[in-house]
Amino acid sequence: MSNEENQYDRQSFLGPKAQQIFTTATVGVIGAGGGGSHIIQQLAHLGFQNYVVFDPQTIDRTNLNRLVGGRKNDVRRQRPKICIATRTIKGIQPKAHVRAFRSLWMEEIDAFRSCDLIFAGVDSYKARHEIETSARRFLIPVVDVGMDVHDLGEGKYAMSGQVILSLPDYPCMTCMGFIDEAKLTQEARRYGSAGSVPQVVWSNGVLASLAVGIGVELMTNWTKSRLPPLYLAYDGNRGTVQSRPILELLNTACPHFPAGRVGDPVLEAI
Amino acid sequence: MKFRIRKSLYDRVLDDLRRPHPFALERVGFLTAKLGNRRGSDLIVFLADYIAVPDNQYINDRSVGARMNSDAIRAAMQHILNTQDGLFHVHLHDWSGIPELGYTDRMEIPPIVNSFCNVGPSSAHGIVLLSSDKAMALAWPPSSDEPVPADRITVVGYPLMFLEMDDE
Repeated sequence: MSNEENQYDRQSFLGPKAQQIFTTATVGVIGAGGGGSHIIQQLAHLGFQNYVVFDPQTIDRTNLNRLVGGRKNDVRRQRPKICIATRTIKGIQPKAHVRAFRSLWMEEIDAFRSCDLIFAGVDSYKARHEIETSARRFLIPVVDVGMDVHDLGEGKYAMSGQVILSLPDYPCMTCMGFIDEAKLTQEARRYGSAGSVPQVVWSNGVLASLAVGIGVELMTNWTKSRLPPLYLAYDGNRGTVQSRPILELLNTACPHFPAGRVGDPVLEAI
Repeated sequence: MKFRIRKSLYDRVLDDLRRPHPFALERVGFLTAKLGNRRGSDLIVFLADYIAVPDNQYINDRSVGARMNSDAIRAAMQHILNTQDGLFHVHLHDWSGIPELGYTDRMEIPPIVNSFCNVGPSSAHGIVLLSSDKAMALAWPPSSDEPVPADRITVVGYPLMFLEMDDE
């Protein structure tokens, strides 16, 4: 048995084709920060070989509490997060093909479209909505990860988060009630005055692990389940994860992203 | 070149192509197609919808698996004219492994696709051949006389399926 085979022995239950899928599939990661850095590390351990990573930012001191792979030396050098992501991947998978862009994903739309699966770790509803809109048009599943810490007053905080799989033929984030006009409008009004978003390493780790689990299940169907996990809600105070019941949505076609609206946008005759 | 198709559409195509016909030995149909990455380096073909060929548009010819009449081809060309969609001739060789075009397929389908290219020169047209677990596809991109084989057809759904063009 070769060293390569030995490396993945412990995950052979994922199926005989799993490593071949991980070798040929292209995974995109939008945001190589708190959530994305965990996701990238786990994908590399699993054996994925083709990456597209987007993040315009450099690491700063406030990222060191949670950015996996980030070092003090990186802060001093103002290293781009994509370089840390690439270093993480290459440290585990030296032969991996990494296309890392120090830019927003929409500035590198060809690379975005080339992905077979996208993990999104972005902060706003607007950013999620934009990613989902393009991903639906180009038939790319998106696993969205997000967390928040709410100040309840009197020194109390509530930590929550979610992992959502947005998959063509299934309900979108608007269908699931996660994104709506009111949230987008409220967020637009707050734009520029939100301040820093509270983030910690362990909740990012939990959510990133759930996201990677969903991605692996989507590609391998190792559980032999008939329904994908679409919406997992995380309660950080209790340390619980629950699957949101959205079965009633499954028999209704998503009205927000009609099935035929795919490919490059073009002007259509009325 | 990559192809992508929703799983619900893929299942619908297989279901339709597996329906017995009153006299033809197999069924044929058309997949409508949109293009992605027109300005990019790697063109992506998105298979968007399926048009079944009605029973009465087959010719009773036992020398081939299925043969469409001129009404079927005219309707397909009219669809291209109306929508500017690409159109891919699709049929099924219902066994496992990478399917290959037979002699009749190679002789008779490309001229039909050429007609599609003439009617809809700004779209990609071609051939999709499915098996029970793999597929092959040829696309004539806009402004190209030569077909380009698909590297992969991704069936997007749960689970995600990669219909590779090479045997493992």
